[in-house]
Amino acid sequence: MPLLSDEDKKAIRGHFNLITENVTVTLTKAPGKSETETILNELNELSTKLTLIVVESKKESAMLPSVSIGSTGRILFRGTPSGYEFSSLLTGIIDSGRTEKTLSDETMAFLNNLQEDIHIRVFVTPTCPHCPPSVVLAHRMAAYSDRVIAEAIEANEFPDLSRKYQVQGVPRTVINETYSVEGSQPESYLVEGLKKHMEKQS
Amino acid sequence: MSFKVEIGLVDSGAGQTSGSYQLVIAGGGPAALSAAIYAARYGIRHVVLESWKPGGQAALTAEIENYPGFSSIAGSDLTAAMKKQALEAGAVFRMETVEGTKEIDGRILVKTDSAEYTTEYLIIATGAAPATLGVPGEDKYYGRGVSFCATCDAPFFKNKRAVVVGGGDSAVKEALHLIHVVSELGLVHRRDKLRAEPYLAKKLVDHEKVTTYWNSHLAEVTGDDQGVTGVILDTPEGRKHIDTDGVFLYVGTIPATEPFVSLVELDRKKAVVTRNIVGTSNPRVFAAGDVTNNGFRQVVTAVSEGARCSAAVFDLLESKA
Repeated sequence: MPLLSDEDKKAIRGHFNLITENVTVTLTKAPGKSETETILNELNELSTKLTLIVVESKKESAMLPSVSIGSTGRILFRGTPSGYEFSSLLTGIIDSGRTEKTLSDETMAFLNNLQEDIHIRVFVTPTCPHCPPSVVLAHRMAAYSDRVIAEAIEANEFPDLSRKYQVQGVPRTVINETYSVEGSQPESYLVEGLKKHMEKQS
Repeated sequence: MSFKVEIGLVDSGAGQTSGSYQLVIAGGGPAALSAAIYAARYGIRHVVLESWKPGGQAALTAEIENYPGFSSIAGSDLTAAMKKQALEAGAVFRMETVEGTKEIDGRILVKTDSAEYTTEYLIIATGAAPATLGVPGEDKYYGRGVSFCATCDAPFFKNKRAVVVGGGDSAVKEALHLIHVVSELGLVHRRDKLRAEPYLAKKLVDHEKVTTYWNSHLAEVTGDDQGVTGVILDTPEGRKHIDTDGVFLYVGTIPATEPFVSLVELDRKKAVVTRNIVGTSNPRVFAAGDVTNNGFRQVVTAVSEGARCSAAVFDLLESKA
């Protein structure tokens, strides 16, 4: 039985019409059945601009399933992108297939001046309606700058990692192990906070 | 496992959105969404600045059981359906936060975190943010055991202990959501009776996992490097320490009116003072939902007020045409 209803498919097709460039989505998964693979296969049928690559990994240490949008390997979902994270996944795919500007001039200037790499981990749960904006912002930063890697991490599926980063509330954005933000925050707030933090560190 | 199709974030084209409008709707909850549906259907040239919390507070409510037409619906599903309806009607959304407003030459300037708009009319529907108590430990452990969103954070407290502080509808609804997950739940309320709907209140208080602390106040949240470990309560029997892993606070809300202070009259609780339900002290500004001093904070009243706002704007535009 398909995971997406006909009505959902119609709505998604409409949004995918915004895509003008080809988008590759890579799923890395453990051997066996995967709900993430099913949903991605269903999405793949909704746009000719999408290409889905499925890779099986037997590594026990890997964070699976893992979905990478685009060819850079810097826009990532760890865990099943279900619930509200499905919206983040759809937005990530659409963003990758468009050329429109998605960040403010201030954020782009900040990213252009980065002297070090940034690793953003956004911890989420599928039941968190306020999480997608944080994920989308992190992914847009990674799409813009090759100094940024952004991962959306489903906190329930990776309890050890959630414990390591003391996640007991979502969204929680952790940047380079040293800076974190609780809750969904506007782009300007995140960037200003990060800028100040990096100045202090240097 | 469900997959929610809600793609409003795509509309956030930061930096490309400034412009001149007949109407700006500030907010993303039911009041703003209802205003957006009506504005779009009236053909008003508008933009909705929905900020970073789509669906507002209502989206965080696990189950809404008093919205006509639905015996039970997740708050987020209800607001997502409203958003979908608004988009289908032609409403235009931007994921931007209003930072300030002022009147210039008979128009209103609305400044967001990434753009500027001028508009003939403004609807303030920015809702309210959860209030805090200002007690020691509350800030320190926010995100590490202190939460304002049971819907989002309940999974972290599976088979653990939690305390809910508050006695209104939100506190009780969220406690009833948590009760399915936690091993035990403390309910702390400053009075000897819950203010919530009696049906819900009884369901909670009678639950075997619940211990009530009446006439009690949260005095401190305690914890260690890992997060919350307990709370200290002021009770009629004196100070009491309770071991807990999580603290969920539902102690009221603060209207999100900071960007509008120079534009409209606010009451002492910072809510927009309304006249004739949705009018304000400024003839170009209307207000709807939890941001107002209208009192009854329900989705059903918020959507009604949102609709009235857009209807009022439409009438004004028509009278000038």
